[in-house]
Amino acid sequence: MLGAFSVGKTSLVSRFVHSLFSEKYHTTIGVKVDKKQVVVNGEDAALMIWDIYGEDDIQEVRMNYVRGAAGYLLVADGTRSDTLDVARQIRNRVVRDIGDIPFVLLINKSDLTEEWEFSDETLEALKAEGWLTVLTSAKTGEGVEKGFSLLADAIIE
Amino acid sequence: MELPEPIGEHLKSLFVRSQFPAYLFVSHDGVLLEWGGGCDRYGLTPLESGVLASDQIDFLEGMLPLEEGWFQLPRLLVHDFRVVDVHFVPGEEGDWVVLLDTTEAANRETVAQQQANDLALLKLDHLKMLAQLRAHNENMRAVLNQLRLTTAVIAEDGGVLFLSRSGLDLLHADKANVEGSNWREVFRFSDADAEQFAQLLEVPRASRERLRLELKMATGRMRSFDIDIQSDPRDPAQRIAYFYDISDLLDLRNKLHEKARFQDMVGKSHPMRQVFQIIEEVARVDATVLVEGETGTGKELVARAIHYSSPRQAGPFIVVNCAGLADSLINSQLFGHKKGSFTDAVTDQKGVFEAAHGGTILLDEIGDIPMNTQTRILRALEQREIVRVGETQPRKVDIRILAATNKNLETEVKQGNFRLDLLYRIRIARVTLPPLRERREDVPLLVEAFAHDICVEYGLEIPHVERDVLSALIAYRWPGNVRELRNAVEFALIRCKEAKLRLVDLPPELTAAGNVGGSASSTDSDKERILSALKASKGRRAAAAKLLGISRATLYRRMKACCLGDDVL
Repeated sequence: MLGAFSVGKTSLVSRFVHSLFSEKYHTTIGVKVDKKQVVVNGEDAALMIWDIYGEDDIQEVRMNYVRGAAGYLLVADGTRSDTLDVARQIRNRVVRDIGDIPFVLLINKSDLTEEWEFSDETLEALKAEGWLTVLTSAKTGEGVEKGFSLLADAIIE
Repeated sequence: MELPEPIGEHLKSLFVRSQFPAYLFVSHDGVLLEWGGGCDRYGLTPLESGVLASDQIDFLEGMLPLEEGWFQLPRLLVHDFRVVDVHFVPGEEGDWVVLLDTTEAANRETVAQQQANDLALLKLDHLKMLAQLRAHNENMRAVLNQLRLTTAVIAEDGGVLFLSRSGLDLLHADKANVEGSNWREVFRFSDADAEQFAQLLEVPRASRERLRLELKMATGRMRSFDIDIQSDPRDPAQRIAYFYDISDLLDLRNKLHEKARFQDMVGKSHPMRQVFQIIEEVARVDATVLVEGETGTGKELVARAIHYSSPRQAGPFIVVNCAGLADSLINSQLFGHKKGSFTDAVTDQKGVFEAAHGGTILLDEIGDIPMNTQTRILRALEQREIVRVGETQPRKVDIRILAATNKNLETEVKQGNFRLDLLYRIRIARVTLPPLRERREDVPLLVEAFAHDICVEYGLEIPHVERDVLSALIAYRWPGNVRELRNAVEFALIRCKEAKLRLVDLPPELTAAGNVGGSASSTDSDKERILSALKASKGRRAAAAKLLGISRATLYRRMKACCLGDDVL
């Protein structure tokens, strides 16, 4: 799970793995590893999910954490358009340091429609670039399963 | 187990520094060989040697076997909320995975990072709010500009802290020059208006009233503003001034008013609009005009309007009341005289015809001029020249003659009192003024105009005219026409002691039964009105005439017609 700070990476994992959500924001230090059994193409598979601290102005995400990853979820916050820029920067570093491994972009907090900053044009542009993009809400659960499944499918392929 | 050198030495020093070290030793192909330290504490056990380490420990998935040199996986959250830094250390006989407990450091880091992130989120919220405020601000400014509402924030010392874009545009001013300057430099009021504005800034909120002031624009043109002053909610010592530009509104209002006014005449009724149109037409030419109408209908105003709308407007405008001239002096007064031509002719004297040279002369009450004078006037009209009394040489005069009468001159001709040829000569153009009773719809407009003029003259507050007062004024038959109406309004305003003009303030004849409606000139009702006016004025003729809206001469004439002798009252 990669992305800017406070985009909801930990909440997405919590929703996906434990079906839980908390409004309270807890910053992540370092990394927390979780595991969830999923079925991909009719076969059981274990997703080892590394929830990595969010990137901010002071600290970039270390690529050590991504070493050995089969794929990654880039997470952006739909109410903060600048978090897409952070996601792009992280993606560039992953490609440079790790390689072009599968990824899915989750644009989180889709329940906050009044504060939404991503335009349809932006989403169309991402699609045109070949980015798999899913609108998610860790709060309501919208798109969460779909996002993880899409990544699992991409990894298996 | 002995650690290989020099890695062993390095790890040993790490173990010593760390409170709860744990380590794994794995083969180069990732098979767990040995483990030790606090593996239990970090939830790594149970472990089985000879099995792939990554199959037993989740975080080793993808990490082993080591393909590169030493690397570190910092701040890994493991069992029981412990946090470790994981070091992957390649060795000759195998690779080391060393866990150094950094829980306390991570906890401190978490607190600091949480605060930093919370602050960053707060800052983002503030930035968003700021952006929203800016957007609102821009919208407000756009709306203000669209409304042509100028706003200014003025500091306690009179410095202008802010002037809206519409204000800058209006004054053709630069923001840099305006902000910080004193409002007296920015807003070019007249001295009197500036003092009013200064007072408005000073007075407490409860006493502030909207002011109407004029500002001089960069073009030199004056514009009118309604100005409101409010205390700045951010700093009560500061004032926010709202300038509502009402110039266009006033222009429009004036244009509307112009339609209801012509020079000093007021009226929007059909007959009056026709009168205004005729005045405009006759003003363009130099023809003689006869103005007809009952007494008090405004014949002199018509003549004045013709003169001041004509090319002669820069010349003199002289009114001669022919009825007031003594028969013996009328020729001398109209045409002048030569010294010694009669007893009191001690010097050469110009008459009014000469005095009006280049302008206009109004011969009011022309029906009252004696026959011999009519002849001389006819000559002046035909020849454009006059002869002074006692002289024989004619003098050229460039005048326009207007005549006014309340008599039926045709009747006067038939009775032998007026020359037919003079009638034809003065009646080239005619303006016939309707009596007020035939244009009652103009009464409210006239009342408003008179009330305004009279209150300005006397320094009175313009009172509200109650509906029943207006009804009484409209219903009254106004034999003295507009002049009588003006005098009635003046009478009422002087009597009025409240903010409302009431029926009791009106002259008594207006509210007396039977004095409404009907036509003008029944002798009996005229007699009653004259008696009532004389009674109200305690017998004083001048006051009674004013009350009736007629001249003293007309009063005497009517008294005579009503068989009222000089001894009445």
